[in-house]
Amino acid sequence: MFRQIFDTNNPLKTALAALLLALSALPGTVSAQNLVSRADQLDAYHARRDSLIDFYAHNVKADDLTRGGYIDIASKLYRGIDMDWVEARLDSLMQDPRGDMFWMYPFITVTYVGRDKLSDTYKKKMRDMWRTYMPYRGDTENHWAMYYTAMYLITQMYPDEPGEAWFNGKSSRENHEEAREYLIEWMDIATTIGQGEYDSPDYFGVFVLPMAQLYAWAEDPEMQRRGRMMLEWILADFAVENLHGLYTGAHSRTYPPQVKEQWKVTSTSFAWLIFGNTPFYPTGYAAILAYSGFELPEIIYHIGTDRSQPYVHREKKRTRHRIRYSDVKNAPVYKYTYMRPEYSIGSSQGGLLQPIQQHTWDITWDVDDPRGKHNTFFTIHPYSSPTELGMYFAEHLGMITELVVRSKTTYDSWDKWTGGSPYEQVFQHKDVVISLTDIPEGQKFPHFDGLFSKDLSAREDDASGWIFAQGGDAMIACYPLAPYEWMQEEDGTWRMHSKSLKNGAVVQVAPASQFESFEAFKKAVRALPLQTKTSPKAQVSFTTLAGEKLQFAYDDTPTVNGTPVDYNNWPLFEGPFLNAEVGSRKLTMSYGQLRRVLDFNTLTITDSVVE
Amino acid sequence: MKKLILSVTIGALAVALLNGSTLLAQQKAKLYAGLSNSKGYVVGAKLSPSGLHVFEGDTTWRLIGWKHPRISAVAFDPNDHNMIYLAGGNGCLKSKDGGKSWKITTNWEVTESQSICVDPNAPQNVYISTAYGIWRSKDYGETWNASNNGLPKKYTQLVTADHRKAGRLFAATEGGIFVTTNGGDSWQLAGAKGIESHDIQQSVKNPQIWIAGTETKGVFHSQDNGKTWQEIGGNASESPIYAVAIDPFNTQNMAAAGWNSGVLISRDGGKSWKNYREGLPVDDFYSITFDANEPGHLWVATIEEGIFRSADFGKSWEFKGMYGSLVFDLVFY
Repeated sequence: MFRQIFDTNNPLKTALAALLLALSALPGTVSAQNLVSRADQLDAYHARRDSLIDFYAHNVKADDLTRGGYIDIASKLYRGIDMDWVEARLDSLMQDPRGDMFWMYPFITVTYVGRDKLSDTYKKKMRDMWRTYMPYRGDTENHWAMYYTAMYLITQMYPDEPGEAWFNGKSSRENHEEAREYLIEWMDIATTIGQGEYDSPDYFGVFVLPMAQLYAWAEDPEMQRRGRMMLEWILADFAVENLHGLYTGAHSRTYPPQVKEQWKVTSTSFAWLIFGNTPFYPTGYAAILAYSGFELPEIIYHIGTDRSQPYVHREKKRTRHRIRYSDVKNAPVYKYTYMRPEYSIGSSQGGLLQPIQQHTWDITWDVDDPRGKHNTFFTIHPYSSPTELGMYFAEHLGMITELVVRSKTTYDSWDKWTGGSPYEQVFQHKDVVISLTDIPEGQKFPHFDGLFSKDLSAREDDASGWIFAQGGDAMIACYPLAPYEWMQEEDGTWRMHSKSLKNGAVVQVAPASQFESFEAFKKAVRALPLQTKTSPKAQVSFTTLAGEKLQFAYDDTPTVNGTPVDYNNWPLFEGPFLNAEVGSRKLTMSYGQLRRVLDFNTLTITDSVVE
Repeated sequence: MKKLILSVTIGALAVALLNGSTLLAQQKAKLYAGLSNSKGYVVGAKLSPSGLHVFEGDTTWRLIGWKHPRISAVAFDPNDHNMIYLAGGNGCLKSKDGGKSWKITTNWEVTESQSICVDPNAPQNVYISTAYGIWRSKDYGETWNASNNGLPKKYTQLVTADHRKAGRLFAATEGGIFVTTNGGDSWQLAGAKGIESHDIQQSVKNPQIWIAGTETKGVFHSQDNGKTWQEIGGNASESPIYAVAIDPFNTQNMAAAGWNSGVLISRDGGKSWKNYREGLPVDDFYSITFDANEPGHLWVATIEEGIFRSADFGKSWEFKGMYGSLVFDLVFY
């Protein structure tokens, strides 16, 4: 059982662990459930780090010259083994460079990991690749983060060379300055109005890896510190919304298979590496973090692993850059996550927040082993429109959908499970989500769907209009606002399919421990005051199991006990663990009495223990 | 988008073209294509030869310079034929030696470049349009500054110069057709208000005549040097129009093409348009241009099905290579 990693009896537990134990009993604090000492954390981390590097170092046998990528090469270099194979594979791969920034990040990794181990001949060959191969800079922030980090580091290694020595004709100094300027600009935006490609289980790695590379290899102390701080910022952002390794809640970008099987995704590999709270899932992205020498601060480790107490966490993020069909370049994204030991519910407000791959909200319930499990529930209005794509991509509208479908194959499918809709609005308060739609006539996919997983232990249509379900220790009640039908998919998923345009669902979740039985849960939900309408627009008035009255109508501001939700003052981070004000460039992490402040205004990291 | 660079240059070559009959006695213009060999390509995938190409006859094209996933447009300095400017995914690429070596002269701020233009009467001034607005260089593309004053929507597909007047340029933007008379210090609405515009071309023979292609209203027309613009209507307004062209030898000949449009050809200066689809593999096009050497010959770039040439105003077509490519720009120079 992978969670037994935490059940250590190592006698080297530090005094701090004992302090945390004491703090856990204090009112108003999240308890320090995982009593793992710093020494044990690091021992376990080092073991995982070494095993990941070993995995790639031995991924290809030394007599097999037919396969092996740059991460395999870097890992063998890191271990100092199979040098003949390393050079042969480098020769082979360098004959046919491809991948643009996806070539740059592993290539710069090999360059730095191998700088003291490769012969001058190979260093020279590798250096020349930066003259002869022109990588595309790309069109989005993860592309640019990888591109400019690689440019920063390679021009750091070769600092005084003229434009003729580089693929883009710029001198080392010009390239270095441009890269530095872009990276600082991106960090500034991310720490003031939020990250653009936010909280993506898939794209998480392509932001972590460039920051890990800066931390590991930037020689300028300021840039090295920026890399470290941004790395911590992103990892803390993940830590607070992961439930035993799964990146829960709303995401900017994810893929259809991963929205069901949430474990099988890049962020899992990082959770395994830094938290040890999920089964081994190797990726090259995580391997780069492993090479970097980075050690996770203790406080982030605790934030990422302590699920002993429920909490509400809010964040403000922003959309990817909008280039047309919008009055704002970066629209705000209001994220809300309610985390419990048994499950996590997370949402954004709906609408078009990211192209193609948006995941607006979901429930993720805890399972002992997430491999192969679809431990999730959510609803969606599947939307497809050239206008949405044109908002973010500079292609003509006539061809834009076809171009997108080449790589995002389900974008234009009626039964897709990812993507945002301008006709879907979502409101969450703790463990209740209300999703409403107002789909105009003539839309390509005029329906509203709900995903009922193959791994639910119960799914019942109730005469009251509620659908009751249970996944793990999460009891789920879903009240569709309009008639629906059931459709089953090949993988066992049940699709709640409704063709009403003014539509929606009320979803109340509760932990199984709060009820004597599933029947008791159903009875309690049936008794809750609930009023819904779909004309003239979808609207809901609902009193939750906790006795709070929620009201939400399409296009109106939702209220909690009569008080409107204040979106104008939504924080950059707010919760028991992470806090930051919009525009502040300053993140305060808290766990018990531990504090750690990342301040990009002063480029300082401050640790303290509050009295 | 297409450009007839020859038509906006100053010098012997342009004079030769404007005096059509003496053209063939002069140096022949070459046909350049800025393209992405895009069929099957996504960012990060193996890249087939993409970038700036020159036509070498039959169906043969030769890559000039770097492979680059997207070259959206090409422009030349009218006084120095070795000075080439490209608008590409990585910004502005400039060559001073006819394409032997290149430098990206823009920085991280200039991305998703759509077009590039040299003011023929002030060639030190170079303009690049991008998804994030217009950028201007006053030193032959060496340094750049934003030039968006007066544009309500920054997304700009194309910027092109009035070849008779320095500092007068038109921009095809999300918000319509805009004009500057002060080299980009400020822009004013010229026409097609609120209509996303894609391409604008000026007649070589009669600079009072302009045409433009738009997303929702098809072809627009100006007969007063761009002061006013009229929607042509009819079958010229039924499809998104990505590219327009005016015959440099005869202003009565015009062409337009876009998404699901076929090739639209007018032989009466834009009064009536006939749609040609037969002999072409698709109805979708990105670029169109009249031949600068052969009067009445028309070139079109389909969307990924190749480049085709017609010698009879659209009645028949001859495949000229580049299957699988998105040709963003066809330029005679």
